[in-house]
Amino acid sequence: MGSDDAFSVEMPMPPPDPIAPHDDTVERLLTGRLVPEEAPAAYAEVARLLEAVAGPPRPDELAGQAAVMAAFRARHRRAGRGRRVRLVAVTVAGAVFAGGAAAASTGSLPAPVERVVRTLRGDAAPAGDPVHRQPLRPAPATSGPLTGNRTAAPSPGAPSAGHAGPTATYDAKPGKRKQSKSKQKQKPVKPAKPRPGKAT
Amino acid sequence: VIDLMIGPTFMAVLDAAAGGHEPAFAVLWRDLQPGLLRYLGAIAPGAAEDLASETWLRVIRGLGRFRGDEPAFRAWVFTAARHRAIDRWRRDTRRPGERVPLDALVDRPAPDDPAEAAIDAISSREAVAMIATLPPDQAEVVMLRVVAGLDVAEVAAITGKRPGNVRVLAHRALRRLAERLQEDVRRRGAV
Repeated sequence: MGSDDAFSVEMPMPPPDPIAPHDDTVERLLTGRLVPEEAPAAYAEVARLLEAVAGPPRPDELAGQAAVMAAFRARHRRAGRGRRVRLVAVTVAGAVFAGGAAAASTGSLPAPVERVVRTLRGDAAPAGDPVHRQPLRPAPATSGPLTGNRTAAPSPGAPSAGHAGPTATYDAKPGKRKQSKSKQKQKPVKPAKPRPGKAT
Repeated sequence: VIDLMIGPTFMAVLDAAAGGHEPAFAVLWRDLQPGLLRYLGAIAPGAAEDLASETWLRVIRGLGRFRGDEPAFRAWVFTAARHRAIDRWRRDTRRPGERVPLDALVDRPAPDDPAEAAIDAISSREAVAMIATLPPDQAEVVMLRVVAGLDVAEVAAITGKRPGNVRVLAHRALRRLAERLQEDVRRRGAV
């Protein structure tokens, strides 16, 4: 015990780590709130180093913009093309259906087309499928229509509206209209069969 | 901290970018790309460009699904970058991320001698190279704090460490840097 006392008197305790930074110093250095001139002597160079790490962008760091933008463009062109193809397909299907319905009744359509029209008219399942899935594969020949789409679609306030808008129009409106029309046309054909049996 | 935050207009920019607006996406890219390269340069030297490109491809794919504010977006992008770096380490049969172990560099300057240039105007490239000589977990914490502008909690979430551990790593990192830079000053003074 005595020797301990002697030790503490003769050998003053050095700081455990002369350059250990204070917690506040660390935080201020990391958040850029401690400039080299105000930093503790041991940390002036560290402050300078961290300033450099967080320095303004160098031209070479922004050199890859064209490549990334090309990837971004390709991604959105693909998405836009998908929407556009579906829209065109629905339009074609609508035209086929409207014109074909009339032509089929006169028997003036080629057999395959007439089969499609009859399917569209008579099938309760999603009637557009057989027709509108075909044009999805070949890309439309139109060039650059995305530009118009893109400037119109992304309203800053509604992120997904630009995305969902065309798809929603395609999914909901034409399909519903066609179904209701086809149901109306089916009515005269169907009631002849099974209903009475069900009642008994 | 790197002063690249977009600020109040961020949500509008993000929404527009998610809708396919190229100038809006360019704003996001220019805001984050320099920091991303520096972060990757510190944790995976030599692969930063490739990893940043892979990161942006992921960001482009996931942009429409992202929900959050600017700090969350920054954290998301840097997390994606970290995952790309980890994937690279796993694929790589060599030492993780081509990082040179600190022990091998104790008495050697970093490749382009950042310490030598420290007293004068140090470039961001040299500074990153110097950070890269720290142990990987220390280097990562410093870069996420300084370059990505993330706070302790966000860095802890990204790295899977406790906040206290993140503080300790930052503390050790800065102390080690101070020591090395002081040694360099002494060496230069003696010459």
